[in-house]
Amino acid sequence: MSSSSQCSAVLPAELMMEILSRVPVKDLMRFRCTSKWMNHLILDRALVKLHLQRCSKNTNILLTIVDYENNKTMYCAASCSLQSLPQNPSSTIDYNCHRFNHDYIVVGVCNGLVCLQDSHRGVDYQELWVRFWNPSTRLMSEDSPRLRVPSNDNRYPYPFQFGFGYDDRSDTYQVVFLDNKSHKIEVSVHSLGDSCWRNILSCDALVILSFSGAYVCGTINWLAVPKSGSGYQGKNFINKLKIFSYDVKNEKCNYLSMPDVPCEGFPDAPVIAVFKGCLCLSYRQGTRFLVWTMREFGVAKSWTPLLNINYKDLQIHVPYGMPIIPVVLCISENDNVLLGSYGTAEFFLYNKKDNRIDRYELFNDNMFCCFSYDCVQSLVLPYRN
Amino acid sequence: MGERGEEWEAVMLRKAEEEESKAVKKVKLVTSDGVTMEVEISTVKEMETIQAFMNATDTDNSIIFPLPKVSSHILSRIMELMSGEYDQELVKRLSHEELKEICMVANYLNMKTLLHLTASAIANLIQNKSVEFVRHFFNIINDFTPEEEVQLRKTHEWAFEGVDED
Repeated sequence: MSSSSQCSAVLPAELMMEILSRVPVKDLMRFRCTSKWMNHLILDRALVKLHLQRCSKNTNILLTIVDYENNKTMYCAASCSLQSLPQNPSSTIDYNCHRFNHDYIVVGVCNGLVCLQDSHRGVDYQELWVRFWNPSTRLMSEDSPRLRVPSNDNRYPYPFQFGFGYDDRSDTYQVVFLDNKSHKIEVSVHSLGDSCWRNILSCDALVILSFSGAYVCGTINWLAVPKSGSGYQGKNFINKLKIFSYDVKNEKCNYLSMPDVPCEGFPDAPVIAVFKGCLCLSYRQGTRFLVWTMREFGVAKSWTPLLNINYKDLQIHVPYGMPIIPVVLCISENDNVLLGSYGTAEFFLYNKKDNRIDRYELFNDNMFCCFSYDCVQSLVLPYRN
Repeated sequence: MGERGEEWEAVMLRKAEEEESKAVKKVKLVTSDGVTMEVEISTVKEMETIQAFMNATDTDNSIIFPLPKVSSHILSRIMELMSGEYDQELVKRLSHEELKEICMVANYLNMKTLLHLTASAIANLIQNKSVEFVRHFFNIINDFTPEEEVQLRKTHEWAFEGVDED
């Protein structure tokens, strides 16, 4: 603490933290201007942690949005309150929309901190790096050190993956990079504030189906299928699916079991994401759209069906004949499900109690939502203090 | 009833007497302005700092506990809040000075419920308020140079939108 504390503070620092940990982030950013002492206090690691413990969970999501304004693709993200989003989707998104000046891809969100990935394609090599951004404090880090991968990389479906998580033992935020070599996966890690990527381990080769990992309970998770055998297509595809899980704290790889899905029709576009602190799996099967949630992390028996609707009931607009893929945007306390539709500017709110679907349209129909992340409003700094 | 039964009865009786003496035992709190306030032992249970002292000394006599940082006015306000089961309405009636002082005492005496209640009340009070309001409320002196302050305000311009008037 700075020497100014003796002359300016009436309340002791520990008591001031008790109070400030109950104040919203926007107010705290303003109060940084109160004095040097308050400015230090608000950026203090102890307050960041206390504030994180106290801040309300499951009230905000971060939507990643693509905006095709004037035939130019703009990548955006909007931190939206779950209270106002279903009521006024258009104005909520418009008001909170942050347009990036780069083609950032959101890798993941953890404790309100967003990991963004950017790249530069050279002749022989492609360079990759990340940045950290807190949408609540609007603070962004500098670029991380760079990774290099060959430019003409056609490994399917993705040559590499990223994931973002938090190690509570060392209180560090970590970015995980999976390099899919032909016979193995090489895992490297970059800790926020470090000047390098560390090689951690190699594990068995897999076909990983999702680009970004889903962070839950100290692990980052990707959907995958074994590389050998009939590949990742075919009738029994869903039964071959695995969840590849990286334990951030112990730096170990593992597999999680999938729900016991009856094999009827062709399962399509499986996605895993985290809502309300639980891993969720969604996919299309025939004309139906299904969502499962793993109520207790790592417990196979806790997979519970959450949604099973005929997607024709959604009546999604198909303007350019694009495939209809609903995206789960959030799951409310009483298990109502908010869906977006990939490729169109529409929302659907599934009301579980009344088994009813309400439809909303965005007034800016150049915009559509790609993905959604639970995102608390925290003070977590995007750089080392 | 045999000899052992009588012995048993005597033990039970002694236990009951002990319980009773515990129940009526009082604690004397001496405030900064020299006022002695006698309170029930149950009241002190929530004051973990005093409770820890009592557990350590384990005395049978009535206990006198000096509170050099607490005025009789603030202590009586705290007693009102405790007997009113920490009603939000009672908190709303407190002045800013009283609220701050009670919060400090709650912290000093380690009274968890009261600390949560008053810290939340102050947090609500300063929400949406100006930097000047907060300086005045906490009696904080601005030690930024004008240039430093302008620079910091510029960094967080968006956080100054929609602030209440003082």
